[in-house]
Amino acid sequence: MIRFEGVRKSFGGATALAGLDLVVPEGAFAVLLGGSGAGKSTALRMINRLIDPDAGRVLLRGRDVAAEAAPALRRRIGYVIQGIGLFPHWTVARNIGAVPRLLGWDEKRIAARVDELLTLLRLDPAAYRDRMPAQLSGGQAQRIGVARALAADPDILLMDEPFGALDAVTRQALQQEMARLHAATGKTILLVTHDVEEALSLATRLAVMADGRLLQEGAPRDLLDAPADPRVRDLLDGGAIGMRRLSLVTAASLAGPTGEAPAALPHIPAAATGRDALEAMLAARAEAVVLLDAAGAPAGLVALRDLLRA
Amino acid sequence: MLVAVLAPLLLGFAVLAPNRIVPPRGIAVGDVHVWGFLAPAALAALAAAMLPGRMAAIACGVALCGLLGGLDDVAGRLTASLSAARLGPAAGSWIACGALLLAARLALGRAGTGAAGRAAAAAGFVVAIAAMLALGLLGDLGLVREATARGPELRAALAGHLELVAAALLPALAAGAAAGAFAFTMRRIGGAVMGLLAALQVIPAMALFALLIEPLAALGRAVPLLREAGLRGIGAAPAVIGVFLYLLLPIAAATRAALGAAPAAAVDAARGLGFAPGQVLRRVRLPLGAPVFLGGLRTATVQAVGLVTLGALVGAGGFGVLMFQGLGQFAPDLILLGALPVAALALVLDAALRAVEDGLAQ
Repeated sequence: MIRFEGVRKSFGGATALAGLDLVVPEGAFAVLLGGSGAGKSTALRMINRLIDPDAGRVLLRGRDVAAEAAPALRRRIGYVIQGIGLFPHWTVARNIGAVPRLLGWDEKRIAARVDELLTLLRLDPAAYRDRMPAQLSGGQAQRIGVARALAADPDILLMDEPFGALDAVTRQALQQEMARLHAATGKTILLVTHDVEEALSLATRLAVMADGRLLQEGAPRDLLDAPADPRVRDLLDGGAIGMRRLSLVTAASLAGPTGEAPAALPHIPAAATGRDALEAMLAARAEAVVLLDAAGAPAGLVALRDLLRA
Repeated sequence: MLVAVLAPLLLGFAVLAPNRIVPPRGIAVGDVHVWGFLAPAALAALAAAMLPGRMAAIACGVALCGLLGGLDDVAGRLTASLSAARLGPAAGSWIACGALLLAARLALGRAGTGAAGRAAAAAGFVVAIAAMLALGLLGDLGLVREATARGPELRAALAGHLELVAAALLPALAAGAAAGAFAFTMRRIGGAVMGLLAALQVIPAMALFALLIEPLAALGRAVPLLREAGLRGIGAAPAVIGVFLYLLLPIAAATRAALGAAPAAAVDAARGLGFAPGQVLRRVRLPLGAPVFLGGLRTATVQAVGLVTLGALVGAGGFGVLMFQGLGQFAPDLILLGALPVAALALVLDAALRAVEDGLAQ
């Protein structure tokens, strides 16, 4: 659990945080959303003490982060940044093994961990471990950046606009990767972004910030349905609130029994979102879609009017 | 290549000075019959124009050796009985030498030869000249006669030059690196320090050496112990201190740039992952900045070799002594005897440090 208590920070005359109170529950995929200058990166960088607060405190599992030497604290926290920041003079394996090496693991254990992480991030260890960062694409480099952050198995992962510099296709692939990693590892992840779509697709808890303050925090769906502040509504609406709502529910949760569905209806996987279901209907000019379970058997039917329940 | 053949014919081949008082007179190619060397040299020079890359470079080298051999042959015939006489190349032969070296370098470039290949070519040429010297094929040239006559002096000049360079460079390395590191960490005050070092560069070297003489002499008078340790107004002290001051800027600037050479994201990531400040420096900043620093060190070294030459004017040793003696006595061979080793020394040190840089880059 991460807890901010009345945290203030200003740089020169500019206020970055004007009294932030925020709780990130254990195991959450929390997203800090806000425009530039909202103070979200400052808040993130206070958790691993890259920035120290002027007033207030940051607690990690009930313990003030200021109580521990910064390097030791940081080695227990994963850190991924927009610029990736791979060490250009080290191989992929040495980059990933950076923190384990700081912690004094033996070489064999580090090598095994590097291969394990490359496999987890869907990169072939034999092909990638000896490459130099300059030989990687942007998406591959950020996968290595995530692997490096996870190397010493931290409980918490901090991500500062991690996909901001990647092209749309790579960004989406890595977002799905992170959702999968979160589900598989149960780590607490705190991600900072200004991209509403990214925030809605990843967050289990969403915190919207502006002008160094927290505007609202909660489940993404609650923020969409009941924005507590006009700025939250403006940010989340963006002229697409219906579609956003649809993309937050699974098609399966809207489905009725399959019954005797006409064979011509389009099929989508049961894990797809309501938005995917609508897209499939519009594409096929059909009024309903059939959901298929993992084995490919029909698992329900979503009709156009079912989408209104989202 | 035609230039290399025509220049000695049209602009003069050699100059002969019977002694240092009588004005030298020109010798044309036809005056003495030494075709044994010159005809093959001319053929090689012309062939170089038609041969592909590497062969052309070798042909240029052969032509150059032939030209020098021809000059020596002439010198042998005209000055055999006159020990004070000196024969050297005239303008045309100098131009031919330059043209042949340039053509060889261009030919190597055309052939796509790398740094190692160029070094091998240079070494091959040096070996060829050394072999001609050993066989006595160049012994009668004015420059070589001068060098033979002044062997011990040359060795003393080399030792003195290297000592002065080291005495200025090593302390400058320590002080300059410290100033650069300071400028990197304390940006505002550091900027003022760099400005001061830059202002030093504006003072002409001679003026700086001269300015140092009086304070150093006064210091020597005031503290006899220092005087006994060799600190005087005239001698090595002002030259070493002056060169030291000049070297501070390139070394400090290179250190500052080297410390900032690591990408900001890599430094941020290193800190965020838990590298302690010393680890960020040793594992990220220093390895990534090393090539930048070495580049600055190379500049400083070459600068030191050149600046130390001027130290001769305030009584320091080194090759400058020979050069200024030559200037004073109007003896071109003596000037060259000082100047050529300085140039060679600078080139060799430059190439050596560049090789280290290339090694690091891989």
